[in-house]
Amino acid sequence: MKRYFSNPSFLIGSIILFMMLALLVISFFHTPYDVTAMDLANKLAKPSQEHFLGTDQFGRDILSRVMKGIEVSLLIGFMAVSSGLLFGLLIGSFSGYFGGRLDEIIMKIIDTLMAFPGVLLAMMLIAVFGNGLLNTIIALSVMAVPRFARITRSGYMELRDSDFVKAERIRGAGSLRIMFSHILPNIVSELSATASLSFASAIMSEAGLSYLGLGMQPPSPSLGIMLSEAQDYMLRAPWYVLIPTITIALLVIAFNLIGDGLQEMNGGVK
Amino acid sequence: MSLLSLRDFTLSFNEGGRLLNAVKNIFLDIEESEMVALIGESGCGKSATALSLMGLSNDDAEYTGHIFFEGKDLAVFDEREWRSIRGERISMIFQEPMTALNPLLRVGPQIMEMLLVHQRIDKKNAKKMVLQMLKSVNLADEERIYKSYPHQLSGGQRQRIMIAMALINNPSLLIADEPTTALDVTIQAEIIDLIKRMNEQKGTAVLLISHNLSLVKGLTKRAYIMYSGSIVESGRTEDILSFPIHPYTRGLIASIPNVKNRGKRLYSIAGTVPSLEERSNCGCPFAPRCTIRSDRCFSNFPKQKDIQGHSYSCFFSPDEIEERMNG
Amino acid sequence: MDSLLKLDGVSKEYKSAYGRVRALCESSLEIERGEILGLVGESGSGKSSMANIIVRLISPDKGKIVFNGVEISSLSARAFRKFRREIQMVFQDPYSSINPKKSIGYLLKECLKIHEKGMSDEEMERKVSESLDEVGLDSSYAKRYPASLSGGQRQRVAIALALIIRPKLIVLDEPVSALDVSVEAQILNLLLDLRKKHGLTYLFISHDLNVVSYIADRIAVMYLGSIVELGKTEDILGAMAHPYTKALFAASSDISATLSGEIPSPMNPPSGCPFHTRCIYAKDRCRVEKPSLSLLSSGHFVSCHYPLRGGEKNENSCGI
Repeated sequence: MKRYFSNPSFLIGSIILFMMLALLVISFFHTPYDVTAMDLANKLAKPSQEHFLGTDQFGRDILSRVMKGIEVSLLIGFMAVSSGLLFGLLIGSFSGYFGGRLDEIIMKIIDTLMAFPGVLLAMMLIAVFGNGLLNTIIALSVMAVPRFARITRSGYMELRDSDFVKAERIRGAGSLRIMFSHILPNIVSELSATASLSFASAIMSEAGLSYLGLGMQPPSPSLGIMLSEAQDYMLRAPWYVLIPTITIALLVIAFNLIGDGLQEMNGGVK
Repeated sequence: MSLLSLRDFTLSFNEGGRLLNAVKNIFLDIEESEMVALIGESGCGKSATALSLMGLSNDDAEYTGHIFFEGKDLAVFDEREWRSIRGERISMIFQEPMTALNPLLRVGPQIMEMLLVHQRIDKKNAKKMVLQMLKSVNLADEERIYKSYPHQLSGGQRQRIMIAMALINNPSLLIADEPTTALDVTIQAEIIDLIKRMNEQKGTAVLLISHNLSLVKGLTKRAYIMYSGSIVESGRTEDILSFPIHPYTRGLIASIPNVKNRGKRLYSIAGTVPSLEERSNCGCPFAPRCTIRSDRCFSNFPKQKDIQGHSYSCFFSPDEIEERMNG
Repeated sequence: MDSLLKLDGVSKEYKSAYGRVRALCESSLEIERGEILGLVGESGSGKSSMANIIVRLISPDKGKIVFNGVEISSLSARAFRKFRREIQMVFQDPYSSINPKKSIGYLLKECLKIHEKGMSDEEMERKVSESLDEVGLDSSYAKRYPASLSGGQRQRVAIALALIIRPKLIVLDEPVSALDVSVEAQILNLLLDLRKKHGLTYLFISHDLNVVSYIADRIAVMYLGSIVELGKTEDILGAMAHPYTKALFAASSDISATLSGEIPSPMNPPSGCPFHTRCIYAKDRCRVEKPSLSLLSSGHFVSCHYPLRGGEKNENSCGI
C-alpha cells in the first residue's frame, strides 16, 4: 500500500477522490437544504453564510445540489464501469484464451463498437430505449465494454502460452481454473488502471449526456443538468456555472490521476 | 605497467541510506594482449565490474579506488571523457546480441557508425573496412550480411556481428560478458575460437566473464574467481582449475557434473548466493556457506596470500583447507 | 525391456508466417521404466517439441504414443485426464513457470484438489509440508510467494509441484540450465534422490552434455527432428557412431570448433540424411537417401549410412 501512495499521481488523485467521497457520505445523512426545495425570493443568490455556494435560478441551494450531484455521478460511474468490466472481462477472457473463430467474430464486433465515438453510441442507445437512470447506466456500460474486452483479451493471449499456464495444464487444471484463478490475478493491476480511467470517462459522458438532456432528467441534481441550466445565467451568476464545472473536472482528474498512477506502477505506458 | 589495473576498487549503491557494495576492494590486472577470465556465479559482481570498466554504471553508483587504463585513472572520468574510451579503447560484447543491435537498421551501417563516430574517415573507406572486418570474423558472403537486418541472422552470426562491431576501432581491451551462454555448444566453440584468433591476430586484450569454468580451460592464461563482490582467488588458469585453494573454488570445481563422477553424489555448496541486500559487510563473504569456517571468518576479511603468483583470500593455509575439507 | 513410454513414428509440423516448419520427423523412442533417458541436441533439433508432445501440450500429426501399455495419443482430452497425473514436467526457467500471484501452498494444494478429490484439509496440509520437506524446503515456504524465492528454491518448488501427485514419468526440460553452478549440483542430487525414493522415470532434456553424461542411463541424440543416435551412456561415450554425436561431444569437452556452419532451417530441411550438409564424411548416398535408426550393437542404435566404428576413424573426426 505504501508503494502506491509514494506515486505522486496516485496520491493526489486519491486525496481529491477522498474529499469527494467525504462529501458524498455526508450527503447521505445531511444536506444543508433539501435539494429540490425552491425559494424563489432568494434566486441566484451570491455565496453567503446562508448559502455557502449561492443558489440557482429557483433559489435551490447549490452546495446541496452539488453534493447530491456527486452522488449521481459516482453512482452512475460505478454501475457503468462495474458492469462494463464484468462483461468486458468475460468476453475478453474467453476470446483471448480460446482464440480461433469465436475470437475473430467477437473482435470484429468490438472493433465496430469502438469505431463509433462513445457518446454517439450512448446517444443512439438512449434514442432507442429512452432516457432515465437505468438506460444511462446501460448506455455508458456498453461504451466501456470494448476497452475492457481488449485489455483482457491481450492479457490472456500473452499469458495463455506462458510457462506457468503450460505447467497448470500439465498438472491437469481445467480451462476455467486456469482462466480465472491463474491468469486473471496477473492482469488485475492492468484492469484496475483501465477501470479508473474508464470511471473518469463515464463521469464525463454522463455529464455530457445530461447536459444535452439525454441522461438524467430535471429536477434530479445531475452535475450535467446543473451545467446546462446554469449556462443561461453565466454572466449574472458566474459561480453557478463554475461550481458544477469544477466538481466534474475534479472528479475526472481524480480518476485519471489514479489510473495514470496505477499504469505507471505497472511499468506500462499506453 | 599493466594495460588495465583495478586498484582497491569498490562499487557501491546507496539504497535507502544503506551503502550496498556490489564490488568490494578488488585488485585486478590485465597485461597488453592478455586473455584473462573473471569467473563467478550470477550476482557475484562480475557484470557490475564490466559495466564500470565501460563507464556504464547506474547514476547512483559510487566508485572508490582506481581504474588505471593506459596510464589514466578512469574512476575520475566524466561522461565526455568516457566517450573517447568507450567503443574506441575498450569495447564490450554481451550475452544476448539481439538486445545490443538496433532491430530496425541493417547491421553493416550499424558497424560503420562505430567507425564514423570514433575516426576521421569517409563513408566509402569506412564501408570497405566494415566488409573486411565482416570477412575476418568468418562471415563469408559479407556483402549480403552487410545488408541484412539483425533478425535475418542466426544467434551465432549476430554474435560475430557484435565482435566485428567491438573490434572495428582496434580497441586495446575487449570485455566479453558471457559471450556464448545463449548459444548452442557447437556455435559456442566457434565463437570462442574466433575470440581467441582475434586476440592472437590483433593483440587485443580480452577480459572474458563467465560462470562456466570449463569454458576458460585452455583459453585464458590467468583467471580471477569472484564471490559476492570480492575476488577470492586468482592466478594461472591451469593452477586454479587443477589445484584450487579457496573452499569456494574447490566446491565450485567439485560440483561440476561430468562423466567421471557418474553414479556418485555430486559435491554441492550448501545454501545460495546472497543477494546484494543480504550481504554482510564484514568478514569473509563465503563464510556463511563454508564448511570449514571458524569464528574469525565472520569478523575479519582474510588478507590475500600469495604462493608463486597463485593468490587466495582465506585464513587457512592450503594444507589446512585440504585437511579440513576432507576430514 | 519394460518400456514405460513409447513414441512410434511421431511427426509434427508447425505452420509459421514463413512456411511449414518440420519439428519432428518420424521419431521413435522408448523410455524404460526407472531409467533416466538423456535427450540432447542443439536448439531447433526438436527436443522441446518431443517434450511438449509427451505431456500433451501439443498433439502429433502422425504417430502413436503408448504409455504403460495404453495408447494415449488417440484418447480424447477427457479420457486423457486420468493420465495427466502420471506424466509431469519441470521447465527450464523457474522464474516463468510458477504463477507469481499465488502462494506456494496454494499451488501445491491445487494439485491435490484436482487429482485427489475428497481429500480432507488436514490431509492436504500434511501432504503439502511433506512434499516441501522432500525437496529440501521447510513447511514455512507454503505461505511464501515466488517473488521471495531464489532461482534454486523456485526450481525446488517446481519439482515439488510435479511430484506431489506422484507421477511415474517426469519430463525435465533443461531443469538446471538457468541455475548457478553451485545450485545446479544441489538440484541434480535432489533429482537423483527423488528418483531412488519414488522409483521415478526421467526424460532429461539438456544441451549441456556434461550434465547428461553425468546423470543419464541412456542418451538419445537429436538432429533436425530425428533421433540420430541412441544407446547406453557408456556405449555412446565409449564409441560414438554418428559423426554428429562425435562433433557435439568434442565441442563441449574441449570447446574447440568441430562443426562448420549452423543447423539448417527446419523450414527447409536438407534431402537425404539431415546431417549431410555439415558432415565431413558425407558421400553421394547421404545426399539422396535418408538413413533409418538401426541397431549397431546391443542396445546401441544409429541413423547413419557409414557409422564410425571406434579406433582410427574416431580419432580423426575428433580433429586431434
